[in-house]
Amino acid sequence: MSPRTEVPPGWGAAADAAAGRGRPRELTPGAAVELLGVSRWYGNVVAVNDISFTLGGGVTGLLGPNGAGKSTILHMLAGLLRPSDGVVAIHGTPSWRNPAVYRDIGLVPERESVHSFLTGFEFARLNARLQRLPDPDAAARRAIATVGLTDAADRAVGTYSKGMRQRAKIAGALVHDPSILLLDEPFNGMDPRQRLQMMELLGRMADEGRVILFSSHILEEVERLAQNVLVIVSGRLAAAGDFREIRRLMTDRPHTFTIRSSDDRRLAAILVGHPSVFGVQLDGGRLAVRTSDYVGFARALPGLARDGRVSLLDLRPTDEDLESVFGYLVQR
Amino acid sequence: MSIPATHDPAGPGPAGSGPAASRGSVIATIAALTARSLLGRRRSLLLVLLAILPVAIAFLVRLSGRATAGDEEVTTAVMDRLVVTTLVPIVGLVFGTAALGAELEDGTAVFLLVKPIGRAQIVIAKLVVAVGLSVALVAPAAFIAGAILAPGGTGLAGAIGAAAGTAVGATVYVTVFFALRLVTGRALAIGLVYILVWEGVLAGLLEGTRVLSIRQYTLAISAAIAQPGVVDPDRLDVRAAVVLAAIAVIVATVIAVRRLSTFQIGQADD
Repeated sequence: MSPRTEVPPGWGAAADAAAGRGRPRELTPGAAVELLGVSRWYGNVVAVNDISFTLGGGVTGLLGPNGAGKSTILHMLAGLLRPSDGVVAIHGTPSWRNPAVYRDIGLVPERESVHSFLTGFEFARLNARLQRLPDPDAAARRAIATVGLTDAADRAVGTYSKGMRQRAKIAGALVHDPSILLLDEPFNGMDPRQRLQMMELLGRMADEGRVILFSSHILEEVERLAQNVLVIVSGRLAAAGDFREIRRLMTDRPHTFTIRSSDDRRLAAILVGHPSVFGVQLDGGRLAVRTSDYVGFARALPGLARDGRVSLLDLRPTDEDLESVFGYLVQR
Repeated sequence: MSIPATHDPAGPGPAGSGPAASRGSVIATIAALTARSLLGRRRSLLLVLLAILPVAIAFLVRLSGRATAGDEEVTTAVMDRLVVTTLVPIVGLVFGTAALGAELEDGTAVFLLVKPIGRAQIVIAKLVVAVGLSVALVAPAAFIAGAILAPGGTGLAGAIGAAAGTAVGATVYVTVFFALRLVTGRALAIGLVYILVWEGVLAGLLEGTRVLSIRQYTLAISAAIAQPGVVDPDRLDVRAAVVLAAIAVIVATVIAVRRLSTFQIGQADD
C-alpha cells in the first residue's frame, strides 16, 4: 500500500483550507493512519492547515523545513495534541483522549531524554510492563535484540551514545509489537554509521508489515529510506506520494554549486563543455556552476577535474537548503 | 506476531478496564519508577536534611538545658514555625510538583502517557508515592521532635498529635500541588506564594481565610489529639478541618485526572 492523498492529487495549494470547509467527508475504511481535514493552531498561529492523508504499510517520510508542522502532526497522531479541527484516527478511532490507541502505536519522540538511571533493558521492560504484556522480560529482550543493543542492555542509559539512546527509545516503542511506528527526527545527532544502522532497522520494520512514519528536514535521509513522502511546508501538505516523482519535480529546476579549486578559470572552461552544465560564473574567487542534473553533475565533477589536472578544494550546493526546494514546490 | 496476541489475554479492552491484578501491577510499576526518580534527585536529600533539622534543634535545646521540658515558647518555635509552617508545606510542594512535573520537564513523561493506561491510574500511582514519601519524612520528624521537647504523658499525646496532623497536612499539600502542576507549569512559584502569603500572612490576619489554609488543618488536628476536649477559638474546629482536608484531596485528585486526560505535549517544540 502506498499513501494516498485525500486532497486532490496535485501540488502546492492543493490542500487549500477553503476547498475543504463543510465537506461531507468520512474516514477511509481500513486505513491504519488517517488525518481528515486536520488543522491545529496556537492562538493566532496556524501550525497545521487542513491536512488530509491516509497511510498504509511501508516507510513514509514526513519531510519539511524546521517549523513546518511535522512535530505537531506526529504529536496529534500520537494523541498528545488535540486537533483544533478535523479528525486524527488510528485504525478508524480518534487518537485524542483515547489511551487504547497506544496498543497499536509506538512513538519515538525527538527529545533524547530517557530515564537515565535505567539500563537499556530496564527501559524496554518498563515500557513492556506499562503495556501490560504477559511476559515483559521476554518482550524487552526481544526488543533490545531487534535494535542491536543486547551487548549494552545492562548499562545505564545515561552512559549511552546518542545513537544508542535513540535505539533504546525505539526498543521501548517496539516492545509491544505495534503496527504503527511514529518517529520524530530519528536521525538527529547521529553519525553516518548510526544513520545507516537506523535506516536498515526501519527498513526491516517496514518489511515486517508495519506502518512507519518518520519526520525529517534532511532530503537525503528521506530519499534513502522512504518510498513515499508527505511534504509539509508552512503547515500545509505541499506534496504527497512517490518520492521519485517529487524528486523529479525538484530536479527540473536548476541547481547551483559553488566550487573552490586550484584553478577556477581552467575548471570553468572544462565544466562549461559538459552537457549537465548550463551556466558558469566566476565571481570573487569562487566558481558558481548551474546544472539541471544534480546527481549527474556531482558524479561527473571529480573525473572532469582530474582529467583537467585541477584540484577541488571545496564544493557546496548553494540553494539546496530545503526551504528553497520547498518554496519551489509550493510555487508550482 | 499479531498485535493482540502479544497482549495479556486478560488485559485487552479499553484502557483502564483491565482486571484488578493487571491494573495493580501497572500502578506498582509507575509507583516504583516515581519513587526511584524522586529519591534520586538531589533535592530529596535536602528535604531529608530539612526533616532532621527540627529533631536536631529539639535535641540541642534539651541538651543545652536552656529550656525546661514543656517550655511553651520553645515548643511553639520548633513545632509550629519549623515543622508545621516550613517543613510540611515545603516537602509537600517539592514532592507534589515533582511527582509528575519532573518527568514533564525532562521529557520522559511522554513514555508514560503513550501507554494504554487509564489516566486515573497514573495519577493514583504518582500520588501514593509522593504522599507516602512526604508522610514518611514529616510525621516521624514531628513525632520525635515533639517527644524530645515535651516528654511524659501529655508530651506523648502532643507528639502523636503532631505526627497525625503533619501526616494529614502533607497529604493535602502533595495532592493540591500535584494537581496545580497539571494546571500550570509555574506550580512551584504559585505554591510558594500560597505558603508564604496566603498561609503565612493572610491566615493570621483574616480569620475567614483559615478554611482554605492547609496549615490550619494540620494545627487543628494536632491540637485535637494533643489536648482532646480543649476548644481553642483561634483554631479551626477539628471536624471542619478533617472534612475540608478530605474535600481538598478529593477535588484535587479529580482535577488532576481530568487535566491529565487532556494534557497536551509538544505545543512549543515545533
